[in-house]
Amino acid sequence: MSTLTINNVSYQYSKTSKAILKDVSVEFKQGVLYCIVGKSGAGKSTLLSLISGLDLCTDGTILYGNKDLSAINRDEYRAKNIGVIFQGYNLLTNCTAVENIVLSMNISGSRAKGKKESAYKLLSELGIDRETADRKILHLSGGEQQRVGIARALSHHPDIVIADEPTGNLDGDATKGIMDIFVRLAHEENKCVIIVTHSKEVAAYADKIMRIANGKVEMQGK
Amino acid sequence: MAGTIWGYSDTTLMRGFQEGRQKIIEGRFFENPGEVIIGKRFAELNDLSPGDIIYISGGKKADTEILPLTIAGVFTDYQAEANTSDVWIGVELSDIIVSFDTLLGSDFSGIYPIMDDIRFFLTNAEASEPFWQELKEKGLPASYKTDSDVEGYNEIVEPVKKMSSVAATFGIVILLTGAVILIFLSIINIRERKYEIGVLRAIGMKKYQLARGLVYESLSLILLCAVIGMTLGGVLIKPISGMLLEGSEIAHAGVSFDPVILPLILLVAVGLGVISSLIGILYITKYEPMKILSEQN
Repeated sequence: MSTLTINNVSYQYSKTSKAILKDVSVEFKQGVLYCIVGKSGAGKSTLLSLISGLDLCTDGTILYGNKDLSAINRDEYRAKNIGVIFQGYNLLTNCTAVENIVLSMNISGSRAKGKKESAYKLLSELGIDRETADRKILHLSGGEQQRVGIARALSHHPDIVIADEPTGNLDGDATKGIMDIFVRLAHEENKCVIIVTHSKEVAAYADKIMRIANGKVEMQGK
Repeated sequence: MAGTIWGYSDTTLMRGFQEGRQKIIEGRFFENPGEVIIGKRFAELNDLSPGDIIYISGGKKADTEILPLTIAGVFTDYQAEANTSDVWIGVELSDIIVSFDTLLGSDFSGIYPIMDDIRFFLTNAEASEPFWQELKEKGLPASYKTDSDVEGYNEIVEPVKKMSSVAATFGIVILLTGAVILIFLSIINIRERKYEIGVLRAIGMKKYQLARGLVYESLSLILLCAVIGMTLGGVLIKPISGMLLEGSEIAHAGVSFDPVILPLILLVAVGLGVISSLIGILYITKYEPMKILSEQN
């Protein structure tokens, strides 16, 4: 069964504007790494916003399991079922790395004890040591911030992880490090990982590639 | 030999005894109505001792009655004993001392009360009549003359009333201005924290959770400020009122910080905090997280 099913989805910013997505239908499954590619303005990030419940499609339905996203509490969906890694990281800059993770755990409603320790452990698995974890976000490098963003997205154990240009600001070595994490998440932790990217190098890690052009989606498998 | 009857309402006013100049040499002090102590000379000349009864005439009642008084004790006055002059002002050894109530009960003519001019400051002029009535009911002797200086009261109170009215108007203006400033500060605060709000909403924080957090934050700050303000008010109330009322007759009446008003101040502070927070929270509900983050990025 698909984790996420997109049925005949269309999207336009206003009634008079041109449709960004036209009658798109696609399925996402657990344990698969997807890459969405396409030119700037093709609708990649829009599709990601719709999947993450940050926006609603103007036509069609998006199902999480068998639940229509437009009919469920999307705050709760974002807090518990999906982890979003934003292009600009979108971390709270007045907090430390570990505080960002604990905050996300709190928002997800986690009542587990030792959340801070779990956050340190998660960050450590992503290559962030304790000393770095205790630094404010603005004192971290782009690569470190990206890892904190990934840790935050994984902190509440979501089924789906989506990332918008996760390696956009990183060099080659850092890109490889981050992509290895995504591959591990999909293949070893059975997550559904969806990445939006411009980069062919990143797309090469994907199990399936979705190409968006003129509002239509074309799926290519390896 | 002439003698004087002295009546005292309070034994602490009997300075001769307090200072040790006068002393009971036989018997005891008067305790009950109708008891007296008499001077040593009076006792010697009339061969009187404690327990004897003397009869006094000369009061209004004495036209038809003679007042019996029981001797409780005999006193002496060392200063009067040593005095050789003809001119002596004070208790003589031929005098009689009674309680004030006994003296009033005798209804003597020619009573010369030596009393302080006692003033009471009431909260309003209308309260004076009931006040006198209450005092009489509680035993104020009829010999006390009561008088209410309503005109003087108004002269004192009117400026204070005006000042109070000006202060109330000033307070309302400050409250309204403060409310507007708080609302603007809240909006500015929310706008400044738009990014933070966008992030929290994007990772799933519900609007009500965010609003609750912001209200708690505002209330904590407001309560802290209210406590600081009230503490300062409590400390400064005396010097400021002293400065404002300087020269006034009621300056000595004393001004104090009434604790009853504390809940009201807290209520107003909390009300203002909640209103200003709610206005800011309306901003939160207006923006969608995606819009905030795309603006920021």
